[in-house]
Amino acid sequence: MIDIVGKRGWYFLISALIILPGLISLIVPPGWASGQSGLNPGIDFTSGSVLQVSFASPVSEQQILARMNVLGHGEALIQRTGERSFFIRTKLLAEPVGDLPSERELLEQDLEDSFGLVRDQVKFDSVSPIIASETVINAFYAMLAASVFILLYIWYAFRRVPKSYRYGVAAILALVHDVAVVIGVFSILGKVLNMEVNSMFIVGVLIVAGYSVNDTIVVFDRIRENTIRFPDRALASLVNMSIMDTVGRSLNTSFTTLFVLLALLLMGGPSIRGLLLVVAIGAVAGTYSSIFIASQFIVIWDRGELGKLIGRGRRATSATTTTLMSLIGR
Amino acid sequence: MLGRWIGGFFGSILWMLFPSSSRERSIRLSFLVLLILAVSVASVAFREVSINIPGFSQLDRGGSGPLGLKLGLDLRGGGHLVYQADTATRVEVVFGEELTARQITDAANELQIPVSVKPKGNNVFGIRSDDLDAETRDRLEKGLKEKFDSLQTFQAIETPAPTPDQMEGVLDIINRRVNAFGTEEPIIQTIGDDRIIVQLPGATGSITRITFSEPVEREDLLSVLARIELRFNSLNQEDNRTFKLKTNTLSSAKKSELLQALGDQLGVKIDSFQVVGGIDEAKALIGETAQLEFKERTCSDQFCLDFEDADIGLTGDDLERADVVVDSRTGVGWAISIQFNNRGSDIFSDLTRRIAGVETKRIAILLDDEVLLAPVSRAWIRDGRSEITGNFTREEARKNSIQLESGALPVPLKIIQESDVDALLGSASLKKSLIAGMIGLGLVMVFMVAYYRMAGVVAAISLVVYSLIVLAIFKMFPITLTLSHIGGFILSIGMAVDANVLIFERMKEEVRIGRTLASSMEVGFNRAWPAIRDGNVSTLITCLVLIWFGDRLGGGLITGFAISLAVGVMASMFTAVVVSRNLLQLLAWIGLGRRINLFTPEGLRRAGDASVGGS
Repeated sequence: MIDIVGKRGWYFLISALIILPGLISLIVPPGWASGQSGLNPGIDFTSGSVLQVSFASPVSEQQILARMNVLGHGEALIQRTGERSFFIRTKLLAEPVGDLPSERELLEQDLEDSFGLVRDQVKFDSVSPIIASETVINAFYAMLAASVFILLYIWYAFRRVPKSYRYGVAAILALVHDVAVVIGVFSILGKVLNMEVNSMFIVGVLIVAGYSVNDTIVVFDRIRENTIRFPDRALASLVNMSIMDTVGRSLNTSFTTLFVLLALLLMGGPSIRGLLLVVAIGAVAGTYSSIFIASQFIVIWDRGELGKLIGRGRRATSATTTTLMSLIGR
Repeated sequence: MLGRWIGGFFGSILWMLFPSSSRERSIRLSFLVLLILAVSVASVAFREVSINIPGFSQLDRGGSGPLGLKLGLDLRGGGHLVYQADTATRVEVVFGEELTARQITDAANELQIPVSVKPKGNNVFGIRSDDLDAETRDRLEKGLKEKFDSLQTFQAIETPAPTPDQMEGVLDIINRRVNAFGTEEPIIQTIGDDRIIVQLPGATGSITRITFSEPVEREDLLSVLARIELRFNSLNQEDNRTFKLKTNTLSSAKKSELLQALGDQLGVKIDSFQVVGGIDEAKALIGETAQLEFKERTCSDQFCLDFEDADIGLTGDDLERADVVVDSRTGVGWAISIQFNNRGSDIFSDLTRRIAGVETKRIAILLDDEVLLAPVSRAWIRDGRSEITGNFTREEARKNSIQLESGALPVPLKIIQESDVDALLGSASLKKSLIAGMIGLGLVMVFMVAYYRMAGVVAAISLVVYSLIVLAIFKMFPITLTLSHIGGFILSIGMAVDANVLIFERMKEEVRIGRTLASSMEVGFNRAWPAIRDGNVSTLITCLVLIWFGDRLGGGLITGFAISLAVGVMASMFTAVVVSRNLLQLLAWIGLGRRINLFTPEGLRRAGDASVGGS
């Protein structure tokens, strides 16, 4: 049997290596340190510009979006309001700088050249955000509250196993892990590739949270079963056995998930790609964390290695690394 | 607790139906599944579903989306309204005699000044016009003075441009009205300094009902429509004088063009010309100033065809709250309970003392000078609490209570644009995603069949059943689907697939240690059940918390996700417990059970090394 539990320090190190850069990206200005989200807010959350336009000849939304993309406004939301008229939301268009024409002028000029925009009918305005940014904070609080209830439920559902609250805590740890991975990655992507988060991102994070808990519970269920069946075995070996028992199902489920996501990514429309990316990252993180974080955390707690981890971690990150290294050394 | 309860709930379905032989139980369950399936298919297959059971309010379902589903703004589009703060100058005129609004409008029309006149009393009127500059005002004043000697005052009231704070207030009230009505994720934004866009899902299209005074040929009507280049979706003839025309949302210009063209070109008098549509309902809900007034109505007879309204100084400001309640007098149907503040209670008490039980008296409730309700008063009400009854459906009562309660807009608005808008995420892009999603799901089924053989076929069938049930619930509820609903749906599909995988993996394990197929199924299912139950229960808990939060904090996005996930999870538990399990047992009994290799080919091959899974 493969010894998964024995290398438990490594898994936390790997996760730390993925999460820490994201966390740093979230904190350094413009981030939490300067009172902002650390993410690159998309058009849903910011004030922007709207253009009400009409064209001399028929044109499709995709054609306009393709042009907007070229002009650096891939975020544009384009709604058809009539046969040849459209309602276009963009991020706030830049004011003219010195002799350079304003972004609005460039945009109108380009659309006129490309599709015959009727320029004297363009109506241009600034517009308030679609979604109040409180929605994000609300979603966060809601998830926090949900976590408490999930913890209590798992505590209850695993009551036949010793110290069942630990399973609840571990499941929430995995949840936090998965959400941290997703948010961290998107914070970095926002800074490097200028990728924006919009309302779909919130939906995506909610999906990831749901997936994470569900996946963790499947592995835990097996640990519960095996603990009851073999009461005299050490927890570490029970956890290892349980992981081996469920690995087939874990891989099958995450492969089928990624399958569907891949099909959607390759063949689906461009408007939901952000959502797919969130879920894909979350699905991988969720499967990983069930096996390598949540289950290992139970073992670490059981063997009293937790104090070491936290005690030194408080002093400095390097200390945590030392602890992790000592764990790996086992 | 919840876990046991839900487990107990499904368990009790099983127990209730079949305590005795498992074969009998299986057959009865199959009937239950078939019944549910038939209902689901029927409600999904027909685009428009209408159920009318005597004693219940009629149920009409059917949206504009595929399969008659209702789709939100991001997936389908909807109605698009642009309001502008109305800063036109108003004039208040006071006469020494009683006049009607009609007389003043006519007088202004003679001067060729287009105006709208609103009576504010028997001799006081408000006059509004888009273009009322100083010179026109003088002309109007002189003209009115000539015509009506008794003109006492003529006072111009300038409406200043709205402040950002006021616009914020307008946005707030519109938001409250639209959200209170339960519209799923509308978009309401301020645009520029003095305008507001309201986009509402599904609120598209107009239905125009035209009745002519004498029979008209359909062909003639079609030629008129062609001449004014009005594109329409359908034209139904109800009888030889009445037609029903379904179009995209008609702007007011297009409406009058149509009316004009029909009158001019057909040479037939038009008896009635009515335009209704989703967007009109939305417009009525939002209101233009949302100015609410209570007046004393005196009717000429008990049918109240002719009446006169008198000001009693009671307005929306005096109303503390309005709620939907069950009609307390009859105990069936819905009513609106209203409560006035102290000032309002006094006036209301005074009014009801005078008019209670008087056959020709009504309380007229006007919103933006349109009559909203005009109930009779049944008793002298001294404490300002009253109930308005009138055979309301719940929807009607709710709509009215929202209109009563949400307060006046700080700035008058006028509609400057109304049209249909396309899906926020682009309909072409979404169509592609839908097809891709179907292909993805198909691939999952192929994978399941390849990997789990016959059991995979069972999983595929139960997935189809699952999807049908969920879609039927979405449609019959009805739930307006947005991307966040689809998100919840997709996660629940994932969980449904996972539940099947869990059962089959356990089955395989049992086959490997040498059980018969039938007993492997039973044991495999029982072993997989705790994991399925706990996973689903935690998800349901999450959903409840999210719904609770979403409701309180106005996060349509969060609520949408949670509702569809909750529906999906419950359906997925049902299909896993009832459909998959039952199908497997049926297969075992019809003789396929002995051919274990049809189910888990590798299980046989590995029958020797049972230790891999077990100990």
